[in-house]
Amino acid sequence: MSHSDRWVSALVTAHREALFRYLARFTGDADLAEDLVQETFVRLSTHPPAERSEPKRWLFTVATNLARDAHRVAHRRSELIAAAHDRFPIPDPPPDPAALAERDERRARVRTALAGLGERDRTVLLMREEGFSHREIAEAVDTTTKSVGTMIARALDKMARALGPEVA
Amino acid sequence: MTAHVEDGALVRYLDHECDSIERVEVEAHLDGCDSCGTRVAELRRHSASVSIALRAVDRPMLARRPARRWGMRAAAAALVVLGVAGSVRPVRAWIIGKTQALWATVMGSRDEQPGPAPGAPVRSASVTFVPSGTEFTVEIVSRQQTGRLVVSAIPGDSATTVVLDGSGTENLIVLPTGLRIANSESSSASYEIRLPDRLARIQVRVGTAAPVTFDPRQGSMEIDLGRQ
Repeated sequence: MSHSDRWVSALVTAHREALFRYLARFTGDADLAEDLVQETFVRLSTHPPAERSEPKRWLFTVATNLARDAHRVAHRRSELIAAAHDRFPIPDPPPDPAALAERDERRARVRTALAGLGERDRTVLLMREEGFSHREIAEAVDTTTKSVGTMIARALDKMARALGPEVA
Repeated sequence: MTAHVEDGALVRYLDHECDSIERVEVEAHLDGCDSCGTRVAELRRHSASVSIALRAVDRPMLARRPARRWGMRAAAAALVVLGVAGSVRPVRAWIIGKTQALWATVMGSRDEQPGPAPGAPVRSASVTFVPSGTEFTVEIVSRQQTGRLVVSAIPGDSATTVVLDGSGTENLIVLPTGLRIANSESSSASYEIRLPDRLARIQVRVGTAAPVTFDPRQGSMEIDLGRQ
């Protein structure tokens, strides 16, 4: 295994789960997040950054850009699926409808709350959750370090309002 | 500091992002300002609550994966899931899902819903993968009752194949530089294949007919798969 392969392999091991968590939250779709995680590491393997000192920030920046692109692709795909909607089978009922419904409702509320944020605020909030510094976040969303605090406060307020008394 | 502390500074304070001067200023202000004290407590509470809410709905990455793989015998032999690490070429593919998974790409999660029973018709499925090299071969093993094949180019490194109206007998086998669709003559499935636009040459072979070659950058290709 070459030095470069070992470098990529180590980064996959170190950041795969965090990237997945970030992307699942960002997109609201776990399957898409898995897809994007792999795409991010493919990019790392085929087009590695020239500067290797901050690979984590590079990975999250690439992942964020891919997530934005994927949203546009998903929109196009929805048209294809919608056209064939009436041919799709009806799935079997879940084993415990009440429990699943409650969990789905909770997830839906979080997804809706995240979706209600502007794209930059969502990025800022979720990168903060992953432990990035304000400087790193600022570079990822192309703003000043001082603006990041304001964006985080705005995002937190909006999330708290959207999630309601359960978390406020 | 006479004016109230702005939200950005309070967040920096909570996140330990203040420099030493700003930290002293914020702490001095908070000592004498109930309003800002209330606000920083609120931000701290919101921060904790949002973290808890996010983590409560997170799912581990690998725990979900086996449930997604049922059914699509397709591809199994040639798939390299999470094959980026090590010396494995970045050829990877996995089942994004069947009907509900495709819906979920747009509409949201439907995790933990069971898929159709093994052997049941698969009306829709998709596979995403990354071809290597600059040439790609699509092979459809046989002509079918009906159905169409559309091959087009898209930006990026990934390729996607969507099967619509399948019977569950169509197997998709992903290879480093090709895709083999092992179908049957009775199938009525249609296939939409989107390949990276960096590919210079795509060859399409249907049944025993002579292969057709085209440059994906020049446009898409559509073939009627029905028996003629």
